[in-house]
Amino acid sequence: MPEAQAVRDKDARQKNALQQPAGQPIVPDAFEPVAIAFVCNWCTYTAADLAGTSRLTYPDNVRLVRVMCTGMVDTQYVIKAFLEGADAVLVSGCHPGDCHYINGNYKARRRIKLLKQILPRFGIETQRLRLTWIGASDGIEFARTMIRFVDEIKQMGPCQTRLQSVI
Amino acid sequence: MMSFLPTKDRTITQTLQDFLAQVLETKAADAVLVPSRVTGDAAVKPCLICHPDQLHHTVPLGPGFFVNAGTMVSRLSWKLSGKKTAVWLRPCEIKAFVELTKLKQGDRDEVIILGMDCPMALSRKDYDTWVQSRSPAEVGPGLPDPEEWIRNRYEHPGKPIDGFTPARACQVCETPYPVNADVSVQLFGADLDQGIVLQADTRKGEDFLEGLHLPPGKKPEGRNTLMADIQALHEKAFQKMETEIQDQTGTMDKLNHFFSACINCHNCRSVCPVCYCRECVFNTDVFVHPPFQYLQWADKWGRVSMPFDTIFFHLTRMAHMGLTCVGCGQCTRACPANIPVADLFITVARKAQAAFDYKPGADDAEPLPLSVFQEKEFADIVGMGGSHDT
Repeated sequence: MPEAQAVRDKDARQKNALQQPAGQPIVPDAFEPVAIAFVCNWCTYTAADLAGTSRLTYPDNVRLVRVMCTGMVDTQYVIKAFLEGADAVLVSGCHPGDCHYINGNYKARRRIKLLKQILPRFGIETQRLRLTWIGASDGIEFARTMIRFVDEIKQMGPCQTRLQSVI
Repeated sequence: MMSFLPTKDRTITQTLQDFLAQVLETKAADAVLVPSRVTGDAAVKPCLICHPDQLHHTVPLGPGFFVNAGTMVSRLSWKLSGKKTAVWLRPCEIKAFVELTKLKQGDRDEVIILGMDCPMALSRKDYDTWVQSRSPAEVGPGLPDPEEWIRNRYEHPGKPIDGFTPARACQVCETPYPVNADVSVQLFGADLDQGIVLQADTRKGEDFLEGLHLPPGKKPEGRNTLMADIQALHEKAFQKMETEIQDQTGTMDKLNHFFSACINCHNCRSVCPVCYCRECVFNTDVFVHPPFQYLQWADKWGRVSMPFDTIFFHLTRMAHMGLTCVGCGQCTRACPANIPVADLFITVARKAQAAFDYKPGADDAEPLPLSVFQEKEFADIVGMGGSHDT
């Protein structure tokens, strides 16, 4: 399984990068963040697909989780992602008014608003949680957003939850 | 409409017991739900009482508060019973019940809410000490007469009673007076040697009071000033608590420390009046991890404490019920590991509620923030930041 080996090698590299002596700043280049993106089937996932077929590239730090609608992304999934060591979480769906289920994205917006009141209190910076609208035809926009997203997390450095276990 | 309930040389507890007896005898209500001794000892729980001869066990006002009766009223009203029940509730119990009615888990129709100026409550440990300290050795532990507590609370609010201060949740309560009741029982600022004032806040409350033919009353003098003083005091206490909580939980590492004694018993969820799900996700298989997952985590972080998902449970609960948190403090009281759960939840909840401009329980017509949405709102949280964002 060469692919699995490649993944393991990469994980090992990341681990080495993180296990530097305490007190030394992490070199931005050496830090490969893990970002979880909950993307809706109808818009952002389709945009990702379009980006792929258009041969656009975006950083593989972003792990896409396809959901039928951002309206089903309960706060618990976002919290779980962070606690298991994600450096950032993105929720992305259809533009307002375009939701396949009429209003799921409006509900998602309220949940993200709520999480942004809660998580920063415990040291998970508000910029680590993002909500964007990327339509099905926005392949370029998708790739651009992902590049920028990963770039920003690299600047921020790893999330606390990645460096230590959360009980 | 205001009525007066003269004390006539009776204790406050007796006065209120007689009042509730009158409610039952005049058929103003078919039953009353009121905190009561369950047996001869000091344990106090809400009891549903139909017969006036059972009222001598009741403790309408006292420092014992171990069940938020809001949930109990929901159990009595989720379906029509054909009977009228008068429910004697603390302000946070009213709020909890109102939140549950918004979720269709209760209905106000057959319920008459008698809300009281809150006597506040002790922590579980302090309650036990309070009972011990006031029980004569020859009699053994029973429920001490709450009269001393009542007098002190209403006449000198904010002052510790013989070293006993109310639980933290009570100290920071925003509304220690009834909001959204049918009848509010006004004790702050009242001359308790003379009597207690009852004020009808709704049409139903007016009908209820009219049926009892009580003498007319007038608002206790100085009540408003006293209220303002109490609120200022509580606001100060809240700010102090907020600073402390920020110090104790400001990072994930600190949060680990805060909850390090948690044993995942989920008592805080069981007693929470606004943990409204019929089946909690933590009782399902959604987060049952396969064994290799634990081993993988242990390898990743070097170790993993078990039971796992402690912080996950608390943060998820916070996100699920934070906007409806009524700040009753039962979570702290139920915690076997003595973690001040409510301090954290109240602090976070109050800020989150402010972000949605929401006051739980204040208005029946105000929907739960996560059950509705506006087409244009919270634009600031959308996008990556920058000019091309929508």
